[in-house]
Amino acid sequence: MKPNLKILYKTPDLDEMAKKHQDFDGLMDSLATTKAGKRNRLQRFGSFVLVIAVTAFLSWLYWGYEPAGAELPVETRELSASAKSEEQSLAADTVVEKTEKPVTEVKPEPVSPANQQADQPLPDTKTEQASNTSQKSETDSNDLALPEVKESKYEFVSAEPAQGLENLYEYLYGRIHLPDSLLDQQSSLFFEVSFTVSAVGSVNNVGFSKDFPVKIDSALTQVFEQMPTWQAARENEQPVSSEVKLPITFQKKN
Amino acid sequence: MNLSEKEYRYLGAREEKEVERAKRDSKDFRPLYERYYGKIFGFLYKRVADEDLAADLASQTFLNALLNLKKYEFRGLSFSAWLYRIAFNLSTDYFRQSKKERVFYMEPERSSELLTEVIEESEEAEVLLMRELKLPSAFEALSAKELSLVELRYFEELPYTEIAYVMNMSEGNARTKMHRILKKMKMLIESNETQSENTL
Repeated sequence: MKPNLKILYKTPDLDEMAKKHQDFDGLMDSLATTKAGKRNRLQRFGSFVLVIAVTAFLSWLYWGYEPAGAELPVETRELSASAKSEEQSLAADTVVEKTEKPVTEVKPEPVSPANQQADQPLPDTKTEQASNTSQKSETDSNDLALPEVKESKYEFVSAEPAQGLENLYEYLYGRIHLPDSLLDQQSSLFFEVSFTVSAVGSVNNVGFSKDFPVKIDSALTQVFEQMPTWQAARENEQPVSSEVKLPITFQKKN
Repeated sequence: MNLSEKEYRYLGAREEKEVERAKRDSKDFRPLYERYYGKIFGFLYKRVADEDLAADLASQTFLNALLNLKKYEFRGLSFSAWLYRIAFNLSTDYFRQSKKERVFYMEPERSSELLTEVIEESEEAEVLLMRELKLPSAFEALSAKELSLVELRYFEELPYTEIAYVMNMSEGNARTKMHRILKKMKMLIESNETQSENTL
């Protein structure tokens, strides 16, 4: 599909324009707003689900739930049974059949394990002591375990040129000149230069690979030692010295 | 400035660490934002020629990048390729919805570089100049996709690997298409010349 095209020739100063609109804090604000919007939608959905669930639970309680007699203590059950008989006697003049029905007998139920535990006699002092010591040892082990949970986090950020890698290469290619004869046979040559970036960002211990094509002298070493500043590597946010291996490629012009 | 493949990978590996940091804390996205805002803004401005609209689209590009940063996977390409892809899709959507005029900035130094690819090197200076004047008509004859390919290659100077990623095609396909576009442009310029000669 052919676009509706308008060709322009003179580009305005885009860098200046971009600087005017560059606003990282604004971006963070819009990110927070977008995330909050998403969260709100989730919250609204969550609260809707909660309301439905609570309504369903309450209606189940109201319409469908009947407390089981077995769960009530015996005295309460007896009381409720007598209340029921009273209720039935009150309604005797209206419903005759009801009075004929016998009041259900409350039989003592077999003791449940929970009740059994409650009915058990108190443990003697020896067993109490033993349980105390076991509890104590448990709490001791808890006391010992808690402070050990701390995780040690290791983070390493490697050294990097303060003004960016592209600027660094621009600086280096502007100062290192390779004899044209070396590039006659190959279109490009690749070498490595190693050096140490100290904790304060200074460069030293410059080393060249054995096959480095340019004559290695103090001037060449100076090119590297005086290169744009580096940001030192950081180990757990503390600046440390580190060795850097920088790849350099010479390419044939055209 | 064009980086060699090794330097490019070295830069990519460093960026991967920066992206990992930004995934943990969005405040660490700042270096990537500051490094690429200008490029993305420029790319969008050259497509829409409207400062405020380009700024809006650029902000949307970075916001989308931040919102989807956890999905980003390092594939040996510069992080900018991902940003270009988001910006490219956003601007394409904008043109589709608004049906506004697509703008193409023909920067003189870049278009002369393109011209050397389109015509033979042995041509005389006068012929070169004549043909440069006919470039706009050749651009007008290209489709939206073809124009975007030329734009990314000669005006944004992206490598073919990134162009392929931005336009969602294979690298081989991108190269073949570019070859065909240059051939097409050459034919268009030459046919334009013969037409003008006949009229004279």
